[in-house]
Amino acid sequence: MEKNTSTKINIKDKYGNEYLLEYNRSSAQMIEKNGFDLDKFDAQPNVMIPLLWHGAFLMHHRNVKTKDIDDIYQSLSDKAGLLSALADMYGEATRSLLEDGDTEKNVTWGIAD
Amino acid sequence: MECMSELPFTEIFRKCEPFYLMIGVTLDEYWNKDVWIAHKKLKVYRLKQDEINNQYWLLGRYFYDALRCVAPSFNTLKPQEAYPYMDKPYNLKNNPDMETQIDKENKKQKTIQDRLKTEMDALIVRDNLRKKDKA
Repeated sequence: MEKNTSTKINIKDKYGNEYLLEYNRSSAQMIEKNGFDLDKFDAQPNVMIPLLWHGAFLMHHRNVKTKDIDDIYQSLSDKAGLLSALADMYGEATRSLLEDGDTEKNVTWGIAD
Repeated sequence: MECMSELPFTEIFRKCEPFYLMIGVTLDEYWNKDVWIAHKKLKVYRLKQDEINNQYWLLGRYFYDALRCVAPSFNTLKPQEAYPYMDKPYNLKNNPDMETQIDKENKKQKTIQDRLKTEMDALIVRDNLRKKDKA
């Protein structure tokens, strides 16, 4: 299926505040300026994960305190799934420019052994 | 559009930005809104390009048909009456992709061309015979 809108994550913290996490090109650019590099994600997870996580708040919740964002992260479960979704959201900022949109042609082929 | 995928994202954004602005994406939409808006507008842009291309093609097609109709009257060896031009324009409404219509028209024109060629060959043969007789 072709994408119509960007991937978003809804989060509700322990105080009942709701957050909509989403990436636009501006926030993707911002985290890159701060040193985010997807290639270094495995080598420097302690640097890259917070950048990716904080970046997701830039579009709709720019004024939330860093400490609150960190607290929300700590309280969440399934962090691996969350990070995968975040990486996907971040990637969409570029994928939407590079993809031809002809995702209907989803037949793949390969040379059999 | 050339956007190099091995570049860091920021550079890709900057490289693609002028193109997307050209096709009607605003700066705000490009940088701050949903990332797929630019993609949708690119699709719209491509559809528009196809539409313009189709219109020019159709214009050429009509011109070509008109030329083929009047071509016999320009035959210096044996001028003939021009063939009548189509009564109606191509039926685009019932034939969105025009393929059938164009095929029919091509077949018709091929028949006319074949007839002209046969007549021309016969004329050349007759001319050659006349030249031989004179000699």
